[in-house]
Amino acid sequence: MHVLLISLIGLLAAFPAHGAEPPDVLRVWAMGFEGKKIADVAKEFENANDSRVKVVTQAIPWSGAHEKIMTSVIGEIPPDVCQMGTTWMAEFATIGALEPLDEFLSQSRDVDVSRFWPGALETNRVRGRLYGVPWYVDTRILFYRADLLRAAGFDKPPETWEELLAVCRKLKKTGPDDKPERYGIAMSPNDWGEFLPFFWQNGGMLLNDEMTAAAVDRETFIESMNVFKTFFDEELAPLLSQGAGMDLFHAFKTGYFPMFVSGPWMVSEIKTKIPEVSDSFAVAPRPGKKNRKSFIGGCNLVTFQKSRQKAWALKFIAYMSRPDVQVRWYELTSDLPSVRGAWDAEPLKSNRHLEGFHQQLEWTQAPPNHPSWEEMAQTVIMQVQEKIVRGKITVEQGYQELVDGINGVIQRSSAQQSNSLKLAVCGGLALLLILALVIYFVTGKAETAPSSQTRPAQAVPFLFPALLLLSVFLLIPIMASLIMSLTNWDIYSLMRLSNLNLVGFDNYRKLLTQDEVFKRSVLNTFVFVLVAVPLTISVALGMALVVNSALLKFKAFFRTGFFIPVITTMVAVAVIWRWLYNPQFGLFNLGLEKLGLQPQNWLGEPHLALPCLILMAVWKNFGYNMIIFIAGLQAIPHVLYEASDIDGVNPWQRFRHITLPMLKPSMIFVCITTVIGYFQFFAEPYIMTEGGPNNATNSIVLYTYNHAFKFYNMGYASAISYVLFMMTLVFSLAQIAYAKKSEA
Amino acid sequence: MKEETRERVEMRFRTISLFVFVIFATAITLMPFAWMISTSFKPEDKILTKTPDLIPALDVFTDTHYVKLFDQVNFMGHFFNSLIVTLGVTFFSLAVNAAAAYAFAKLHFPKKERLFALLLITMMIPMQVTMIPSFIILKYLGLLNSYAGLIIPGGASVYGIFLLRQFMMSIPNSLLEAARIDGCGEWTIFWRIVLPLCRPVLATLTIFTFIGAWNDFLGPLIILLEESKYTLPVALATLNGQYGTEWGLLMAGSVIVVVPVVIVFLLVQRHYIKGLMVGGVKG
Repeated sequence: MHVLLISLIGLLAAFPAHGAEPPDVLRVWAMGFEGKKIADVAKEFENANDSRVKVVTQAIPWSGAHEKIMTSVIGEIPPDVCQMGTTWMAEFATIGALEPLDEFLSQSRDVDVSRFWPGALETNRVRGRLYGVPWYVDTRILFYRADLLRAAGFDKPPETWEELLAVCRKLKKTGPDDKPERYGIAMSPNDWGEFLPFFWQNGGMLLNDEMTAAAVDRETFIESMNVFKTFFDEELAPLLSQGAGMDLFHAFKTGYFPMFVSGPWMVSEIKTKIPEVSDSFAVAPRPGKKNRKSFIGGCNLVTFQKSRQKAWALKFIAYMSRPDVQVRWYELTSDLPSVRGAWDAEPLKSNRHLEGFHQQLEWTQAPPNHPSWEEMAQTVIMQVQEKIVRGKITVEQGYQELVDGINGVIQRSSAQQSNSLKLAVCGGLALLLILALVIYFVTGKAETAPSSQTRPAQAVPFLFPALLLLSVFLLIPIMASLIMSLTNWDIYSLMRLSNLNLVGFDNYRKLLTQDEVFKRSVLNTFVFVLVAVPLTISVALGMALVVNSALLKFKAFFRTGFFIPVITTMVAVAVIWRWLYNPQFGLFNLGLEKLGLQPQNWLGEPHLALPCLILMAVWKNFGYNMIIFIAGLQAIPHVLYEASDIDGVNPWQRFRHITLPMLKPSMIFVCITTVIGYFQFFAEPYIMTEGGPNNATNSIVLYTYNHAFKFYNMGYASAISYVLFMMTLVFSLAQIAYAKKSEA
Repeated sequence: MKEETRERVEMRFRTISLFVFVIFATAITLMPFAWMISTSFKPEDKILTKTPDLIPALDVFTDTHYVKLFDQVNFMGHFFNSLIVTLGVTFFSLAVNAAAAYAFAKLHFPKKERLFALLLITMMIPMQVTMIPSFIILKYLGLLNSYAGLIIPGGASVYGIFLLRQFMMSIPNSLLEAARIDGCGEWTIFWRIVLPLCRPVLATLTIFTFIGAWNDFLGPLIILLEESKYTLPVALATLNGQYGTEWGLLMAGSVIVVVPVVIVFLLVQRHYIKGLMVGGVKG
């Protein structure tokens, strides 16, 4: 059917239109830098087609690209051509968003699939069908300081696991008190991309061919994991979680990390950021065992089932895979060509640093193209990996957890419920909710009216706009999500609504009884609320009093100064705080050293990471509440203070008996909103630690976000947020009850 | 006489120690901000020093990041988009929220407390789960790809209503009663008496709303379907790579986004004036 349609459209497009008919408009989305540069190539494509088509490109920021594509698919407004990360292929193919391209590719004279790197082509295959065409590739290889290796007696890079270990052991240096002065290699204990290559190189695979169950070979896993673990046990690699960020460059320059594994972008990054080492670093394929496989990633080009200009989309995709265009694209962006032939042309051929990538592309593997890969990687593989490395479980226990975890993610209930039944129940639930609202408003004792009251009708125009907007944009979505929490809404129901089943309180049961990560997030969130709320409020109040003090000059300056953390962009804040917490040269460790204390691995130690984020959150957020307190302080009538001056009360009494009681409205507001806001603790762990190490900073909302936007488990995510809601509600009610009691 | 000098010395000591403390605290809050600005003027290979210095040495001072930024992004266009959206949200929501807050604080209608409690409860649901339903509603209302789609949903906020209500409640009822007896309508009282008395808190909410709308990233990203309509934060984010980061460029972008917010803050904080209420109570 599709094919017929496409060829029909293609046929129509093949005949040039008569007269001055406007060109067709092709909408192309690409991410970040590619999104900017693709406009140049698009122009050339237009010219090659005699301007019968107009390409409108849209650059999508990488942060948020997944959300953007996902909402456009759900809203049925996808672009015609889109850049797609290789690990996203399976999810978007599974929800039925992508157009299968097998027929097109088998008939097309423009695209020859045998031209591509096989690993790159395979990332497009989901359940046996091809859904895209490779655009550019990315593979991870070994970066090493050739000068340091030579000094340690190694003239060539390590090629096997044994050689890698030997090099690391030789390079590692410890100073007095066992303080590491140089590691062997930088590796992250919780990144699946660091461990899986060891497993692949040993011949391991995660899933069976049909992708219906885990197929992890016990011996292979244990052997690979033991080697991976050795790097951390012998302190050849630091126990750092992801997010090393700018530290890596400095550490590579000083030789603190003489080796690391990374991708093609790193070559130019090193040259511009630490030009001092541009002559002394080199790259080589990963060391291996049975083979030397590494991860293959990069991006593909796809078109959607709901795209309007499929014929032009296919033409454009074919154009981008032409060897000459691939070379041109490399010149524009330094993205590595997915077409083998392009590598034999200049300027790629003579680039010394590309040689390693060229060799590595012969041995690559992509993670399984399973729609729940992201969930599998984050909730199973990374967890198991980190627990083993940190010694929480043995390698054997880890094997069992891995297999059970993978199977748990893959298996879904296949029960079918009739559509009319589901519709009726959902409708019934909605009615029930409305009924509950009605009951809520009808019951309750009548409120005593003030002595001179305004008529209710007078309130209507004041209330109407706000209530209308809140009902449409807040109340309806909330009710929808409440109903959603009683369903198994996941990636398969996005594909076909008939897969959506009502599961009652199953999500809640699973959450409260089986989900260890959720329990940890709840604990973290509570600790955060209990510590950070009082801290933030007292700092805010203190600073508001200081800035408001009659003794202080240049009030406006200091007020602005204290408010600056609120304004400063989160990325800048994150960079600075990461630097403060840097275990090698951060300011906090510098201070500890001056005091003669042991330096700490602040964000890398599970028991330190959360306090670190609390400190940062207080610093970032106290300004909000401070401003509210300042506004509140302005509203206190001056006469009260004048009177107290006459009575000769001391400053503390004045604060206790005038300021504090008069600040009560602001205090109530600040307490309630800070508690509610901090229960939704998200930005700091999201940007600083991604919930690590070992879930020590995972929060309830971060967990919700992952399920909603990364794993597509909308039903489960809704259930999580309603548990959060109940906790916030109970906590707030207790707070109000306490306030009332202390008042009486 | 002696007594007086001692008191004076004590006073001076307190003033000075307060000043020292405040300078120290400001240094802590300002440091990342200062670093952000200084980094934006440093060449890429001079950023990664062991201790980041706050003032770039004159010989490395560069404006390349800003030049590149203006070269790759249609700055004026996106700045203007941001301005429309932010001013739209700020004024619209201030009006809507202030009116509702007045009703909750000073007018009588049945089930007021319950309605208010319901509003507070909605704050306890994280936006992460209501985002997709909201997006679908916007689509059905035909508000996608328009600034109205960003301004209208941002029009009412429970946070804003709650904040303004708290402050309006501290306005003495006697003041409003007097006005009612004089024959003023509710709109006149709201506009002429209540709003002027709320200046400090209105200033506060203006800043908060402005910051929220100005920095909003996910909203404009998923609602706007044309690159030319992007707001400034979204447009600047397109310059970041998937893996590598150009720190100088990133910081230059951050500075450009932050400067208007600082200006608004400086403008608005003039309204933190003391003793507004005094005249009211006496009158």
